[in-house]
Amino acid sequence: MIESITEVLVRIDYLFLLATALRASTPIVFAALGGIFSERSGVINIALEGMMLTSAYVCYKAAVIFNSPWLGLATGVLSAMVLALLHGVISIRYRTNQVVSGTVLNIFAAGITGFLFRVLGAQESAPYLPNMNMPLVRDLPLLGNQPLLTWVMLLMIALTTFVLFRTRWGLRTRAVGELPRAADTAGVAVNRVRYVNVMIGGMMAGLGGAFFTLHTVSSFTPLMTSGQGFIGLAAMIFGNWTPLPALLAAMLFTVPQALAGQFQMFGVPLPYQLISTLPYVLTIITLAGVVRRSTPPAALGVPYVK
Amino acid sequence: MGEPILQMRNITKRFPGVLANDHIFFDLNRGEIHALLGENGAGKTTLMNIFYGLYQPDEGEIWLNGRRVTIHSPKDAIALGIGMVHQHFTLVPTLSVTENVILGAETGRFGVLDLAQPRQRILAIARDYGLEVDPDALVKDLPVGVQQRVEIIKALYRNAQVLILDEPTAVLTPLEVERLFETLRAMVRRGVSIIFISHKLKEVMAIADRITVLRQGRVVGSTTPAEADEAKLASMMVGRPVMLQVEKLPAQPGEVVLSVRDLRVMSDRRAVAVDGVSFEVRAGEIVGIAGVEGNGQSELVEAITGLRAPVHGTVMLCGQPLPHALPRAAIDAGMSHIPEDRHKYGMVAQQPLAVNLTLSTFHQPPFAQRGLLRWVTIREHARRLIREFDIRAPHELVPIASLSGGNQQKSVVARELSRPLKLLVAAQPTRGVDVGSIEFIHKRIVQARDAGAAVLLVSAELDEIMSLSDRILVMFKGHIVGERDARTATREEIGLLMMGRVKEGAA
Amino acid sequence: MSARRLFWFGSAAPAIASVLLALLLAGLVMVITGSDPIAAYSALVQGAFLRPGTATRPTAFFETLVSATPYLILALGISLGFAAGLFNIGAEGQLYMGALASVSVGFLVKGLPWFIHLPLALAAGVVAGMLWASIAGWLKATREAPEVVTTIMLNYIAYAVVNYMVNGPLRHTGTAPRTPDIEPSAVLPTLLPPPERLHWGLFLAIAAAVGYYFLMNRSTLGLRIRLVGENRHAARYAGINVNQTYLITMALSGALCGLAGAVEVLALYRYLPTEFTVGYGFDSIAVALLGQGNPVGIALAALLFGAMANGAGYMQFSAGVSNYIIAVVQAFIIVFVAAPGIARDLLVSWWARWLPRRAKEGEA
Repeated sequence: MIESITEVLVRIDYLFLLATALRASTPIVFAALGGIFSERSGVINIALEGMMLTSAYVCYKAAVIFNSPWLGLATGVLSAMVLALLHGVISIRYRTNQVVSGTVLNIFAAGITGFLFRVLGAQESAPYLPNMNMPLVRDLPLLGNQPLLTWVMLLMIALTTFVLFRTRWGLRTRAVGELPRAADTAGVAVNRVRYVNVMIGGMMAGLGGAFFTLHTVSSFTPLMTSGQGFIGLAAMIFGNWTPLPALLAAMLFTVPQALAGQFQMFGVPLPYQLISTLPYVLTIITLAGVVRRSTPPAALGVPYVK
Repeated sequence: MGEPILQMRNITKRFPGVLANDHIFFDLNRGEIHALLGENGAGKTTLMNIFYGLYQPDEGEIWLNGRRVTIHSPKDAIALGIGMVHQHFTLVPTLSVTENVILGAETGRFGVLDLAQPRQRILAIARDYGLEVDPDALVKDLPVGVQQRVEIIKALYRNAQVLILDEPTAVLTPLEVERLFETLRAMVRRGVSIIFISHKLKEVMAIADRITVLRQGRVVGSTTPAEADEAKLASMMVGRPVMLQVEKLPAQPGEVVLSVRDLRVMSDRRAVAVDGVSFEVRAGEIVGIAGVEGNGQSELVEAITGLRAPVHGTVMLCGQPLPHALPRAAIDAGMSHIPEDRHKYGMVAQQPLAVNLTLSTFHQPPFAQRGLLRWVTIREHARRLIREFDIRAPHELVPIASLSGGNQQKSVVARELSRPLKLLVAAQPTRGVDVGSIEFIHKRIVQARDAGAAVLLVSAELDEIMSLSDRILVMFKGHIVGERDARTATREEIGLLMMGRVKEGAA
Repeated sequence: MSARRLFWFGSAAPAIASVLLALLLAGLVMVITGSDPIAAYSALVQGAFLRPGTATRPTAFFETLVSATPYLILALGISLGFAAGLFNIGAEGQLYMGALASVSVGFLVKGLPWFIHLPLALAAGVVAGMLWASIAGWLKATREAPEVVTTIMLNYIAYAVVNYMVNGPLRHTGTAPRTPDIEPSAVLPTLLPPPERLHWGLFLAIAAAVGYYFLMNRSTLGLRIRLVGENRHAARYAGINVNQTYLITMALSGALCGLAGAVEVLALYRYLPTEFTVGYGFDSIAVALLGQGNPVGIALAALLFGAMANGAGYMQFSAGVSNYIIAVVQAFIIVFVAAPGIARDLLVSWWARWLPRRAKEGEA
């Protein structure tokens, strides 16, 4: 057994392993980015899971109907943003506890997608989004032949970092999430900034949802996002609400699973049900380790009342 | 001086159950400092928040430069050349000075921030008005006095022609107040007009050209420093002659009750807030800790009461060391605590008054037996305290949140004084409370002392410290920098110590 | 007294309005999808309450009570967490672990009289749910790990553990992946002869509701939990051990969820399949929100959800409306319960539009 494990460790293609993990990190990072926008402006977003799920379904259905993955993507992202708007209305306008609102929307999304799935069915397979397999690009290490959305995810990491720390919008967002009163008295419309950021968060979750139905498999199954939105939140916390570290955190969750996959491929007997729990176990361990050292935005979870 | 730049006419603002502003007329001339004087809850801040666009008036008009204006938001106010320095600063601690100043007035193309140009302008403003500040520092690293300068720069950066300062001296030492006044005079010379909100008579007399007094939402009258004196202003403010001094007999200190040894405490931001502090408080004396807020007093109180774990040192109560970070142990050992932040620590807002009056004792006899609550006893106890402490509440089952600030604070005081106590830790016991309640609470604290309790008083109000304490300790940057006998200490002396100017040997 | 009555009504009104509005909106969805909502809802009521039993079919109302039983127990557990400010989204996982433990004791332990074996099997479920929830409680108390995320993660782990056990170590010899049947001595008996399935779990659920009431309103622990939930800083200031309270609350919450799992398998299934209640734990969050922390409210909400779950089949059969429309109704209910303002503003704006028109009609 020991021998076989060392043997496997020698034979593993580590670049391939990293590439697998990077691909698997895609929806997690999108959720984390969505969380960063929303929470940097002071709105807790537990509903990312539900937004991803909704987008996954709508992407699939719209792609089938329009026979175009692109229109599917656009419609799916839009649906997640509608859900995000609802989260904004419930928690910003009506000042409901943001965790309650998020939980409610998760149940809402599960109910609605389950209903639509059963009523409208999901027999046909949807057209795929392309992989990055153009000449030259195809041969890039790590990045070659990755799904389009994985590239978009990396682009969004850069973009989010820039927007957050180098633009007027980012400055206002951070101010609103730290001390909304300061932003208000400086003439910034606090709740408008929050609405927009929650909706950008919805857009990110929408892109993450698309990954499930337009890349991985071409059909929808109920509850297929299986907690990745929550793992994304853990990655966000681990990354202290900044984008690039969130990617590293996501890799922390996905690399071990990719490794276990390799072991199975080489015939090391591991019970697959228990291997599939790895990301969840790692998420719990990570949270237990980092939360006390993290500094969330100071006004997180507090509705703004003049 | 000359023509009015601002006129507020007939302003009325109602909140549920309160008439905050009742047909108020207020005007401001160009280049003058007009003080708005009144005690807590008189309606000063409401009036100015209306002027700054944070609230909309229910009735009335605002005229600026001879034009009628409606101000829907701070954005409108800023565009009209109005600036405001709020009592609670509106600076984002995690952002730099420059970022804070430009927030909402950012420049740069395509939404990309330009920090270089604003930085130069901030330096120029700082030079012109004597508002020394490092534009690259993070606000959280700056002392409060400097943060206030940032607030003023923020207004000037937006070319404010009218500047409102809401209780600007509350966080300053006497010397810093002098320096602020010089800045204000420099601003007036350059044509800025200033509204100076305060409840402190001395300062108003020193800086204002005109004084308007507000009481219970109404204008009581206007005067000038030349025509008025402190006693007259005080009775205008409160509506009756005020006892400016607390009546008390000399202290008769007994056994040491509280003994703090070499205490070292970290702040929330993981900086050293209390650095090797040692002192004692004896039965029957009130020891006041003076100091500008943010010099470690809050952390010291939290460490003593068990809300925060010190990294080093001991707290002993009647000779017994208290375990760290265990409020229960402190309570059981006979410590009572009036917390500085009533809303955070002192009360559970939606719970009935009766529960709040037994917050730390409901689990033990006579309020509970074998794990079951005895509501009848809890309510009886509450009714007794309501009578005894003159808490204005319809009955004992209303949520404590429905009471006025003064009555909430009286409830906290009632709860803390109704237990058998050896030590009372009173942190900012009269903050945000009306004069009537202040007098009542002061009287009760002195009574507790006379009954043999040791009292540790922490207050940012120098007057409160001076009039209530028997012994005064001054805290600066986490250290006790001086100790004075309250009977012989002077304001000036304590003020200097508060700035860390140690001239030991006088004691 | 009258103030108290007003309070009850005041908190019940938005809940009732939410339910009515949600039924209205779901009716709209039915109209859009080409079904008759009136027929559907009357079939729903028939199927949930009115249809009598036959020799092979249990009485509708009793079946509704059977469905409401786990909802009630789970929602009480979740509400207990809410009271302390904890969001136990892990009810589902705790239920799974409770069911796993109960069934294991049910078929592995042999030769005990029922009055020992049954309580033992129930207790195993309770303890398993308690321990599973305590992981999240302990991490919250000692490491400040947000229970919202950890309990969700624990759900997925619980699914996998059950799946693994049922497919592996605990698998019976038949074809389907499931455990062997439990011993008859571990069965939670039915109250009526077959085909009725109404069982003693209903009384356990009612007892739990009564216990919940006493805990929250009469005991020091209940007040302690509420104080921590409303203002943990003030609770700590008042000498309450906040972290210990989190741990205790989470454990109690998990104990109830584990009990729900035990009752389901010991009374109804009598073995453990791979998937047996997907969604009960989540629906019960909705039940808890609708019940607003009040045991009577929670019981009524559980009855409503039980009725919908039970009547949906007949509705599909007789009115041709997908039984999954129930999920839509539930989804709308909790949105309105979470933000009562939405329901109010919707109603007010409809009312405002309707009133002038009516006034005009009256003039004409």
